[in-house]
Amino acid sequence: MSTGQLPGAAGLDPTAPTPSATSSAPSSAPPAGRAPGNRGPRSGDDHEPRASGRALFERLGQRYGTLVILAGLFAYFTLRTEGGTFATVDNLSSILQSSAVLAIVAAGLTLVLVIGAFDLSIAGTMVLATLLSAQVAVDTGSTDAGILVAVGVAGGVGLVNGIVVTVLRVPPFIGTLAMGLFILVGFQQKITPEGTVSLGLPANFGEWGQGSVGGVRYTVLIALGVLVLLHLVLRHTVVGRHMYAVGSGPEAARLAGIRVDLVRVAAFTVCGLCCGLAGFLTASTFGLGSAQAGGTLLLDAFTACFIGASILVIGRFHILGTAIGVLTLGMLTNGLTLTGWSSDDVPIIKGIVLIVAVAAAGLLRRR
Amino acid sequence: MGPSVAVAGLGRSFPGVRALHDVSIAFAPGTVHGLVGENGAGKSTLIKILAGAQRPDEGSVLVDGAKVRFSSPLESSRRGLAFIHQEPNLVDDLTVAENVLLGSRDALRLRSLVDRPAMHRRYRELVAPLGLEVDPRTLVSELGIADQTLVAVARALHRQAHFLVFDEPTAALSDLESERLFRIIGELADGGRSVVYVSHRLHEIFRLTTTVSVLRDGELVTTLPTADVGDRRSLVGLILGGAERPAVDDRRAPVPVAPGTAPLLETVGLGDGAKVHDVSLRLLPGRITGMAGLVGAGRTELAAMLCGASRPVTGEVRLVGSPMRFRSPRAAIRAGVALVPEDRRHLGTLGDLDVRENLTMPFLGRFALARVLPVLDRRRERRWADGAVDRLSIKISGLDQSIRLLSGGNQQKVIVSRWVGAGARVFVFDEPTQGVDVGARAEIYAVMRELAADGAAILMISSDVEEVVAQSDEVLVMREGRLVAHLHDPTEAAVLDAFYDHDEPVQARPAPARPSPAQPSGS
Repeated sequence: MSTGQLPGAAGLDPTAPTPSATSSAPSSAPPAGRAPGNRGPRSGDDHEPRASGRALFERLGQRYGTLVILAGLFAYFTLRTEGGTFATVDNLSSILQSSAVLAIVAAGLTLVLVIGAFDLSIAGTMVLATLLSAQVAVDTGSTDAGILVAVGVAGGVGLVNGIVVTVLRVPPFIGTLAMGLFILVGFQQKITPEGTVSLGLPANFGEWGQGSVGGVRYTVLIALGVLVLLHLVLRHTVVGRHMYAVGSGPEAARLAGIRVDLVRVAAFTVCGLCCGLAGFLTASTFGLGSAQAGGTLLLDAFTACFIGASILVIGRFHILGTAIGVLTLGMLTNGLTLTGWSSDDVPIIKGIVLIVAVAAAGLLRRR
Repeated sequence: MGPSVAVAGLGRSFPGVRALHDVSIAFAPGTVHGLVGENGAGKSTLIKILAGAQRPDEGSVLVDGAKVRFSSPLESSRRGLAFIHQEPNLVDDLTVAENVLLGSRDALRLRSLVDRPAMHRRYRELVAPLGLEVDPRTLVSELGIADQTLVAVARALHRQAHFLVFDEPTAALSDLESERLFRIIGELADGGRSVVYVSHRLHEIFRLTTTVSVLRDGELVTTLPTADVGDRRSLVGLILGGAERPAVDDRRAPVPVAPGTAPLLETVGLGDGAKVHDVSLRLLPGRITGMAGLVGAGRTELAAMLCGASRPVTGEVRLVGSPMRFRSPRAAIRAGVALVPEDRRHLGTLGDLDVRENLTMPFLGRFALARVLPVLDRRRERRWADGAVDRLSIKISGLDQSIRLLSGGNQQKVIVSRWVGAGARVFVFDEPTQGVDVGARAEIYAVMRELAADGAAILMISSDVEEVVAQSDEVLVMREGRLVAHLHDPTEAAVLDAFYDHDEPVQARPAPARPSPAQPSGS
């Protein structure tokens, strides 16, 4: 069986320069009056975006509505804290620091959401990585070994998720749920029956999580690096574009020549790797591996991504939006604490703000 | 005679576009009233307002001369207005009886939810005159579009609709099924109801309607008796206005085959073990081969095998003489075979993405910054996309426009453009002009001809016999998964003749061009 190609025709060469002089428009095209770029609509035939005030307001509202609300929150917190302590460099770096781990996980999750799937195993994977990195570091005396194993296994979990979804055709919701909430939890208990690993960690274990360079914490830099990298991937690479295509319609994507299964597996694997990295960094930051490290990570990550989908590019998940979502959550938690809300109220307020922020973007969308 | 419905001075705008302006039409009971116009002319907005799904900015809807205001589709339905779309709005997971009866006030009265026999009895009463012989317990999802359409009609009748709007109902119907529908529409009108028929198929407008209204750019051009319109060209002229009238009816001048020309793509005994059996065909470069057949004949399934979307069970596909086994559409695309699918919305376009992304998807790698770097050079991509848009005169407001917002014809052009860019040499068009308006239709034909002129081999699958005969150099006819005819000098009569099995008991055969409505349904 050969993989023969058909002879191409110069007239249809896609990579040839394309000035309109060589365009061979069909003979039945509308006559003169058509602008050379033909982007202009035929008289009244197309929807000519007229700058009506109301339309402009609505469009801007869609894109920036949520941001405006966030800015409002920022102002509120600044005003309500004594001496504006909310907005000090110290406090803001504290927000960044506490958001770093979430940012890494949410970035990985963004990819999975882009392809139209869910990953409910992110918290489980992260916790597994936390425990593994600490346990391996203790057992081998090497932090690096801990990192490698943690990230490697987490990536493996992601890979398995991907295979379960593509080859076994299990719906992602169920597959990752089973993985994250049952299977991984079981493994966590096997690895660390006591639930924590804190004794015998190598001396340099906490370096990545607690150290800083030039006044900026390593964790923040790493988070930034992950965000930038994944942003590049989603927006500027072929794979990223393919991910959006798969999310738009897997069958249409397949017919367009995309290797849908490969793309899916890639997304899940990268998400797993991110959780692995986040897991190690958490252990490193606190100097111990704990099964409780997950906290509200699962929901926080989804929240951050969904806030992101209501900003700037409505309806699409994207890294920049996710980053803003993460910062929002960090800002909320921090600000609410500083302005005297009790820790029981924080989740309630978080939920309300999330609903309001997303609804604001939705309300302004045309019915 | 039922109540009359009319619209007066109707207007509706959306941000940036005036969809309707000062439209006044009176729909007379007992008639079939045609509504025509290009995509974007305002037909669907008008229908949505009548259906209560949109509210007008100006003007009003009148029922029996009294202004009514529909605040929801439910109110419109209660007032006796019913709407039957190309894809009928039925609930797939419920039975046909439930679809017909549920949601109406009757449901409670008959205690239909509990009293199945009564429900089934009432169902049978409603569908008998429509000639629908489907067991009431059948799930809607098991029915074909033709029967679903009739179920939708039955539902409308059950709700005592006196005003029925049919929106492009025959797009997915075979000729036989369409005939059945036409008969029912005639009976509805004879029974004093008001029928509005919206379609791009002008021959149906001439056939069915007594009055026709033409919309253009949101305004009413005219309403006049169909008999006064003249011929197709006049109607097309009204629809398009001053713009150059495309040669819709231009028959393609037959392209001679140079002797010894090797086929670009051929199949030998191709079959998928289910819908397609033993198909052998050859697609020659520079030729447009039409494929006609009734709905369900297996043409789409054949196309899927040609383009790598499904694997053949028997036979083989040969590309320039060499046998090929496409493992996936990706493999077929690399080999230069492209599919323009029938289901444009779900399988053709990547709905969430914009025009540029749809254009370049199959060959994004070409825009990589460097051999090893998978990072995209977006500027080069934009430049290519700009060129593609120009080449095919695709009407967009910008490369970043969501592809969903484009008209059917322009979406189709994007998909074709995409394959041209991917270097396709064999194009399989599956119902390329379905749901495409008159002006764009001609442009698509022109694109196909241009591709052929450039040496591509084209297979055009179409249920529109007129279209397939006018636009192809030769016509293949499929029936029940097999090729039953290969017409080198195709005529509509010959194609229609090939549709019917000659071994079937002889029916009263009218002139082949117009199959008699008395023939039993089913395809």
